[in-house]
Amino acid sequence: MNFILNMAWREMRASWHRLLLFFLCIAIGVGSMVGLRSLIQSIKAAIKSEARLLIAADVDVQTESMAVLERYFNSPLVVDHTEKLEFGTLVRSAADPNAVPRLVWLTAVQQQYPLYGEVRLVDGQHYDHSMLKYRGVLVRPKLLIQHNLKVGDEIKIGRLNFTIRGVIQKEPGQMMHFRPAPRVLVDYNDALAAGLTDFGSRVQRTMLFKTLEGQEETLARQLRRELRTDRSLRVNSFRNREGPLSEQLAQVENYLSLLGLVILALGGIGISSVTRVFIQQKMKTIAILKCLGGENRHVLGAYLAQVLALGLTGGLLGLALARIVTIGLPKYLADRISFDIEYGVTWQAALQGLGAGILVALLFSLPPLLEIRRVKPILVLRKDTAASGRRVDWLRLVAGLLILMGLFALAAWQAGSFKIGGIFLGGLVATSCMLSLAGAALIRLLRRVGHLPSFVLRQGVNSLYRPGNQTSVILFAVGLAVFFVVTIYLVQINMLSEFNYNSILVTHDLGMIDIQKDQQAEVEAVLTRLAGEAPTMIPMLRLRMVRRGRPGQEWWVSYRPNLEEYEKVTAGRFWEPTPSPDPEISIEDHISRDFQLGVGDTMTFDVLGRQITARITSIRHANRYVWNPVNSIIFRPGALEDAPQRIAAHIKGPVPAGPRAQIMREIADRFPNVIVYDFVETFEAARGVVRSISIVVTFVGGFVFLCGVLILVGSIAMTKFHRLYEAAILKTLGATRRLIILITLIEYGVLGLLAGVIGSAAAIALSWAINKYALELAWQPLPSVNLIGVAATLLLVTAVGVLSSLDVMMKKPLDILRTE
Amino acid sequence: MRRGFYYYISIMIRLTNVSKTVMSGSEKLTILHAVDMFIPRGQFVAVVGPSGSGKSTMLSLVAGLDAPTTGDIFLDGEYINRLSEDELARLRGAKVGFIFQSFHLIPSLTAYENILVPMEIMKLQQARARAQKLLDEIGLHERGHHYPSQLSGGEQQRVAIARAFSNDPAILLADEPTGNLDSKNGMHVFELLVKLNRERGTTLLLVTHEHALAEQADRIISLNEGRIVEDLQKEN
Repeated sequence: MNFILNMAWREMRASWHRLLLFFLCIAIGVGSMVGLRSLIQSIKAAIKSEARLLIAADVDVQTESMAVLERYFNSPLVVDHTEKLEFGTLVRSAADPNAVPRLVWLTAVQQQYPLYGEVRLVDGQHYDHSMLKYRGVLVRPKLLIQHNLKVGDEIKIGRLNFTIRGVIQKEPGQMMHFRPAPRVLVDYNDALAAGLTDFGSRVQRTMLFKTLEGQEETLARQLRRELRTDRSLRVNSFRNREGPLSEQLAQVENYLSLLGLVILALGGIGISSVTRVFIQQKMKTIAILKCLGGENRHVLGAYLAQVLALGLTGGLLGLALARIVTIGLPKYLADRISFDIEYGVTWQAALQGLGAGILVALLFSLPPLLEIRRVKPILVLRKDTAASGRRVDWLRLVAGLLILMGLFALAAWQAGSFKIGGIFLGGLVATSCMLSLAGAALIRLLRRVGHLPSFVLRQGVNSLYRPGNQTSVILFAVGLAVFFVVTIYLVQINMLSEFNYNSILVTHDLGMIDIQKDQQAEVEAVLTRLAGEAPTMIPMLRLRMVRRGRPGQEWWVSYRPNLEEYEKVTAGRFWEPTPSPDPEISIEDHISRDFQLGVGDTMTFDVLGRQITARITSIRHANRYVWNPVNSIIFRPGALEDAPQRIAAHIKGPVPAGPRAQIMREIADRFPNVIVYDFVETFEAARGVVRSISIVVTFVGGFVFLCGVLILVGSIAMTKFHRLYEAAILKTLGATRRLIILITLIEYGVLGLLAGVIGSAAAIALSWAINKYALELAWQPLPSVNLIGVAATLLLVTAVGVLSSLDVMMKKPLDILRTE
Repeated sequence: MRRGFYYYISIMIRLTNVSKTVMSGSEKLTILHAVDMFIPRGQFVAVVGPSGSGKSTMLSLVAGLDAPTTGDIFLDGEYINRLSEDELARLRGAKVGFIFQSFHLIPSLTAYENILVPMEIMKLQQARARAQKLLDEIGLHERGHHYPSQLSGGEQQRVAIARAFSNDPAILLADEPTGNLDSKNGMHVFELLVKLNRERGTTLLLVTHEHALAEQADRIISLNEGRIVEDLQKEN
């Protein structure tokens, strides 16, 4: 043991710079894995420790029977209570009559709000409910930017003007706010006075309770029991809100860790290459040790100890990288997560990352390390006896199996599921096989091209088959990196173009909901006057589905005589426009799928206590980008006209900002209960979300690419001895330095080209599959992205190849030939 | 049973009908032809012969670095033909010291550490003190912390000699130990080798081109085209 440890230490002391790539590969893998996992774990820990802030109370209740709740105000369980209202509404600058109204998410609160936590304002201002009194409003920074306003300015909400008294930095009850509309906070009574809660408004009323310590579940149970007949009842204690959120975050954490594992596995390939080079360079030392009495276990042990030490060092460096990630990414997330989180590398993630790093280092270095057994001590006397014959090496096969099993175990561990671990490994193996096969096929093809006309071309291409060449390793590793990065970009651009307002046919881009029946004619007239065309008015009815005689889910439904231009019938036949006394319905394909209903089946609904059974006569597929809030279930006219209903409207709004703003302004001013959606803005917000996601994905892709470059550098180093010798001979035979550079350029140029083509081609297939099956989005080929991918790979591989071979070009031939 | 039959207490190396054939392209090439030889304990034997006569091959077979095509080899009474790689390594560690023409020091270790390695492998007691003593004996007391690349050829070979003696081996195999040195350094190294050999009573098998060195041996075996053509034993 002493010898093994001493030898490992001495070897590392002398060769650490050769193994730099080794621990960089580990460091990047571990860094990305630990960094991503720590981020989520920090968020989870914050949620757990500050769980009450999730709802800013111990229990929150939404019910139609608010009167029942009043009985609980004096319950011995309840310490305090408060009510809040939340809804979407339009806001505009009060000073500028031409300002564009924009959608906000309004929260109206009472004196006691929040029961837990604090509303934090920017510039260190202290929140007090008095700030909201007399029509004060607190807003998010985004609103100030959107409307070009500042603190002290007035905004118009509903019928009233409100003064901006401060800017909210963080508020409890809003842990993650990814809503496109900015939030505003007003006083409860002011909201009522502004006419925002008039009949027809889609207001969400929530009663918040503070209970005696540990009594939150008791109160929640009592409320659920007492209000069990209320079908729209929602009772949450902070504990049952935290549970599902933590579970969702655990899933995100596991998926992100799998991404980290992809990087680590790629790093493993780099490790394998570097170890192979290292062992090749150490052949003579190994032979000497064997001459001096070193048994295989001694020598193997010494190098295995080095791998362990390097895995550990690389892992520690990875932890440092992860720390940088946890410092950098939260700055980006700060605007989106409004609670205090102490970001840092968590012990759990650090230990997992270190363990995974060491395991990957050991597994992937095992096959090259096993070569040590085949090194004969006679190598010190005769150069040509490097290793014994090519018998089947069972130990190597076992090592291969161990790698697969180890990766499976790691993937299952990281994903927290054997199934996902298996799918991950299967995907990785399939991708690896496909890339390797494509590489081999391309090389075979190149070999068959025949006699190349120029010496430089011939020599450059021939270099790809030189003894000990790393062509397939480079093609695989760089190809895999290109594959990942190009796929990310193809998916991202496809997603962005889905949310590009100009690139898709939007027949209606202004939508309105919550129009009352008595407002219908007026709204229609306003819209027709300002937009120059009549809007489509869509009746909205809330009906409860009845299944097997029992009341079930509530649905928004509508009725109309004809098929719209943005939809097509996929089964059955759409009805004639005439009303029919026999109820008929047409359902969208997703309802058909989810409820396993087909043409000829029936659905029963409860309409004011009367049950209507309707026959499905057609199934439709609608363009999802045409806004229609009630398209899933459509009745044939004749059955629902007399039932209570609201109206939605949509219209193709004018393109110029002025007239468009005028429509929104007039609707907001005259009908405060009506909510207007501007889809141009919604699309922009969606593009923003896609961009945010792409930043994280690009960050991961960047790590993958860095690993690919490291593997490339390592693989080039592997053939350095051959190339040095070849260059020396060529120079002796009269080749100039320029000629050698040209040959090197051709060699790596071809390699880069092949890797780029393989990676890009595979990326087309994967991006198509992701778009079609995972995102269910339309896919379009983007040859320019692929071409840029190929060109960038060609340039990068050539640059790295030439830079890594500088000494090959510069060294004097005599020095090399002498040592040979 | 075979061991009992061939076991002589005074014989350190025994080769019986040993031949070595290798493939050269598609043709068989015999490097050693049915060599019979025994070397008693403590004898200093020089093996001479032109290039390609099979000297180094014979040395590698004796050390168990290579396996013979035919014949039997015994080292200190132990039949080595059937030993595994690891058993041979153990045997070398315990009984054989090596000196090579191109020194073959481990470049990543200092002179002192190079001497230490065989003792560490064999887990010898007081290895460090012994390595220091050997450094003193070869006159490199001050240069123990230097790496091979920082030493001259002569100094490297002296370190190699100290390394070869570090385990107190019963057999010392030297393959042209002065071949890469100038005559002055070569003579210095050779004298050191002979001195340490005499002091420790080691059996020394020295392969050399130089007749002047061979003359110092107790016995000179001449090889030509893989056959022993002369075996001269000096009178004491």
